[in-house]
Amino acid sequence: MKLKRAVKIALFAVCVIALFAIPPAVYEFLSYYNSLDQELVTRFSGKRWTIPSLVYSDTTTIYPGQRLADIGFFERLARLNYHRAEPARIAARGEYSYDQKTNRLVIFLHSFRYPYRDFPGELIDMKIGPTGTIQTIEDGVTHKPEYSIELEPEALGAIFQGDWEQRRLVPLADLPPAFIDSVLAAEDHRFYEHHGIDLVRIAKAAWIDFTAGHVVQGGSTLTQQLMKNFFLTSQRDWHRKIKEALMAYIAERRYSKDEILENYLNDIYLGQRGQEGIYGVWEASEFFFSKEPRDLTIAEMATVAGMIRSPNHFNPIRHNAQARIRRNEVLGSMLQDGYISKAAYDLAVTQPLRTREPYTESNDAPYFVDYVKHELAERYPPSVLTGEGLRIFTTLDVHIEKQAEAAIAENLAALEAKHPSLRRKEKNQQLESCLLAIEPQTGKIRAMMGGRDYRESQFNRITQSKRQPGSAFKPVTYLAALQETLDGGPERFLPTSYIEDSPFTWQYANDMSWTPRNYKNRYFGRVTLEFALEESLNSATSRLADTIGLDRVRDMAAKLGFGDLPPYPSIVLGGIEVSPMQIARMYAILANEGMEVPPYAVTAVVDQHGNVIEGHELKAEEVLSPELAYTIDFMLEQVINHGTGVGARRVGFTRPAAGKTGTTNDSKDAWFVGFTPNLLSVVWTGFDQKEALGLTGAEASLPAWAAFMKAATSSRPETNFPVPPGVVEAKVDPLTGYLAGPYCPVTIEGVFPASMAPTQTCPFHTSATAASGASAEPSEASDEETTPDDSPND
Amino acid sequence: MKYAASTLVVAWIVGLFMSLAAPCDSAAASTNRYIKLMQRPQPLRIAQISEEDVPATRAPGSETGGDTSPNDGSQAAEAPGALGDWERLPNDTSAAPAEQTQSTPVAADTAATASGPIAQDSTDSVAAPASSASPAASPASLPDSATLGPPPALDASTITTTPDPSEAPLDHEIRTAESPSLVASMRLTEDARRQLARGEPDDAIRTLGRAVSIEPANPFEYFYLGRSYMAKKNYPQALTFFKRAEIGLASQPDWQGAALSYEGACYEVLGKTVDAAKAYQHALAQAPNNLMARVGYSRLAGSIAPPLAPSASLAPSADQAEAGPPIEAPAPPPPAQPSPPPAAPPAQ
Repeated sequence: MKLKRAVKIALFAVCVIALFAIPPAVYEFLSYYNSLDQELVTRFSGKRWTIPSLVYSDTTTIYPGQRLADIGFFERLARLNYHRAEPARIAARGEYSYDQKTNRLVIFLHSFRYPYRDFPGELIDMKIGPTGTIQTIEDGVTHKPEYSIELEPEALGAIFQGDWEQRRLVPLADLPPAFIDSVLAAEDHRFYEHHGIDLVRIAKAAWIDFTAGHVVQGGSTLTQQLMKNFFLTSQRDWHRKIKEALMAYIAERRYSKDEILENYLNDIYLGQRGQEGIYGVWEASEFFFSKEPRDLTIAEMATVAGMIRSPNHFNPIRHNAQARIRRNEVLGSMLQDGYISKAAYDLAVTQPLRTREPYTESNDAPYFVDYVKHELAERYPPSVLTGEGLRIFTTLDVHIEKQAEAAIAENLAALEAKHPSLRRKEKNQQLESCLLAIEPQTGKIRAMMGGRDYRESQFNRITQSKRQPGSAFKPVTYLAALQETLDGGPERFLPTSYIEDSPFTWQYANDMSWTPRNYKNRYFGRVTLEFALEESLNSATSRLADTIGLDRVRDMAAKLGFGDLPPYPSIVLGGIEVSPMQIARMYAILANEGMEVPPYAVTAVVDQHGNVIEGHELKAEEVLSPELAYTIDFMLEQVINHGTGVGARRVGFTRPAAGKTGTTNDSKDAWFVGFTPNLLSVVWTGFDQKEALGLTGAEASLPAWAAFMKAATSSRPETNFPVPPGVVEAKVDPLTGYLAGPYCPVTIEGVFPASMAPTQTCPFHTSATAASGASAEPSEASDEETTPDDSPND
Repeated sequence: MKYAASTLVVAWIVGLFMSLAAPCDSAAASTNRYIKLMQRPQPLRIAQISEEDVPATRAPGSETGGDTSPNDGSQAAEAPGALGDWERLPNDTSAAPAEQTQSTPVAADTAATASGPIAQDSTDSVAAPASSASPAASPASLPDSATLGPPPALDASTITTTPDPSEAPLDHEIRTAESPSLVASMRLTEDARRQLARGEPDDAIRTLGRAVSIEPANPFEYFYLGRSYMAKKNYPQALTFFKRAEIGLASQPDWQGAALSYEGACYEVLGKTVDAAKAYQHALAQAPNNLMARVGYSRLAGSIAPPLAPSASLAPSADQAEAGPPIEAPAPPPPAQPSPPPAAPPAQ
């Protein structure tokens, strides 16, 4: 009786509790449900992934007449993940064959979206000559001749925050049905039947796990996996499981199956490449097979689908056998579910699992990518730059960058081997060097080596370092003098004009004086401007600056981008601090017939939908007259031909080029800057701590410059600097100033404005004077040879 | 009686014709006004001479005699300042003889006043605009021209102009390119030319940027960059590229003439009339049949000194001679260094 009563009381209590507890519990549950719903909707309708911005190099134009070796053709293909196949067996994009018997190179290009134009991914057939020169290019299908093709740009790096999750979003409609089937067969073959939670599958998995004594198989559906990836951690507990199931249910009520599936296929993690995580089926197809999903075979699709369960364990590159077993399991499921026929299954399971060994060597240009990052940071907020999936197209040529790397590395190694005093134990105190290469006519930065090793020092010496340019600044004075001549000023200076090279004290600012000295205190007396620049004579240059006035030099410097320099005479010999970028910019004006095209790195920025956000337009501004630019180019050519830069010729760099050495006091900085008609580069060498190097620019930087330019220009034709109208070249007798005659003992090449060029042949040196052996010169004539046997100044 | 009536009718008709002949005076005066106008610098509306309209597409016959008049006259009428000129002209031409009653004054006046080369016969017409002028011929001396007698008959068929080379495909340049890189860049330049013809200057600029990267020594790239920027109405930039193109086109007078004439057009739009006239003048020295240069120069010749006259056909007109000092002639230069010889000549 008592028991009955107790039961009654208990029931009553339960009812009372239930009466009071259930409504709040229901309310709590509904609130929770709503919050999950909100969370899900917010995530699905907003930005689902943080996609890093990718930085790409420039494209490569290939045309008949190029030598494959000169443009690093096969190295480029390797970096772009092209793979060699047997001739006549090319089936997919990213494959090429080179049959040396028939001299045919067939390549199936990748498709690629480039700003303003798309690379369709054509089959290209090239005929290669015996020396490796491209003879013809034609469409591999229509056999229509093509005059040029372009290789897609190379990925240089990414701009991201936190983890680098590399993924390319692909709509479901762009994936082959078989690919989707393989994923469903591998992960959730009842996907289109359940409502986010598959009770049958859960029960089956629970039984398998129970009988095995440990967790063998999960019961999560694709939707649950997606919810876990989006919102939850990998922690295995009941709370997480319930939340995951609830969210899956909500997602299925809110969104269509196809939407969920598309998100899943773009979201899943499928492996790692260094610090870059491979996410989504597109990236996986590209990374493991160098193919787009549409080009994969069924066996390859099954391989990717099989990796979802355990990306590292079933990685086909590292664990080929396991990956193959798993692939065959997936193929079996596909057969069982009726996605493929028995014949297709039989064919697929017997196929070897061939992956494309991805290009592992680092092909990034870290200093350049940093430079791009800094440049873009001025225009884009960090969240956009690191998470909106921008695609940044740049001017860098990876092949040329590699040549720059090699030139710097080899030169530094050679310098340290030859001069042990330059070696340092501390990594951060090592001898440093940097190289910048630009195309003067387009302003494209083609290579940027900001230092010896990015891993040791991220300090970009091209843009962040300010050092004295030394004699590399001297052309400014000569330009100012020549400009005065062209302007019809009181002093007339031409390359063949004379200037005194002797000890000289410059009086300035009332009671101040400055006495520049020549290298090794060697003086040459009266010399032509041409010779003074060629041999980098400090005294003659300073005297010239004094003659024309310091303000003219400063004006010219301002015109060339150095701003308002202080009125100290030492500026004429480079007594200012500038970056290699500024020096390159100045010389680029000289190399481009006096027109300035500012150096630039970013060609275009494209958002993840392919819209061009910004694009670069080729623009130029006339800074110097073409006549003036050509005249100084001519003088700088003599520097390389037989002046302080002659070392370039000694190492076999023979094409027309102009340049200038630069060395500062105590040889703390060694420069060489020079250019051919189509490429300019500047090399600086020294210690960050401004220790004495003890070497001139010709000794420390010229070898790297020459090696680099020799390699980087090898694919270009040898062309001379274009002569502008209004300039004439003439051979003159420096003793008399007249046009050189056949009997003149000494002649030099000169460049003149047409209106100032000598027109009369030397009347002093005749057959009679030659026969008598007498000097034709007036009283002070001298035949003294003053050819310097070393570089007097630098 | 019947005959008398007939005679009266005939006399009346003749009288009527005579009275109708009077407007010829005003026609002559209009012509004179036009000629005067042609000799003044006028602001140019670039749309009238820009890439699509002027250069190559006009048939030679369209520019003869009345030829220049409709074209340039219409330009003048459309130009903002030009209409004012027309309105002011009655005052300007008040000294013009009202007695000029020749029924065919147009050819004579045009020939006599050097308003343009176009109304001349073939020999003179190929020379610079001023070349066809008699030194005595100027608007102020029109009465003298009337005393010269009937002008030579105009033979429009003998007047030639060269089509703008930049309008035609670059096949020849591609065929004759000397290096593979030049061929590749020329082909891209041809692509850009087509893009420009389709009215896509931005695409053309991008294509030309690629071409410059392949072969910066190709002057045609810069020429079409100039034209592209002209199409975008960025005249200072266009001018820069035309100047750059000029450097490499020295061996191709037609092309250099085209570059110079486009430079002239840019200068005109930028209001630099003297520079424009000089550019046209230089263009004509390179390519005497360049239509744009001829039209431009005929309009602006008065603003600069006449060109040097190596031959009679290039002799300046009197009015041009009055316009200002001649362009400095390249005087025979002195020896580069007439100073005493150096003590230590540098070796080569």
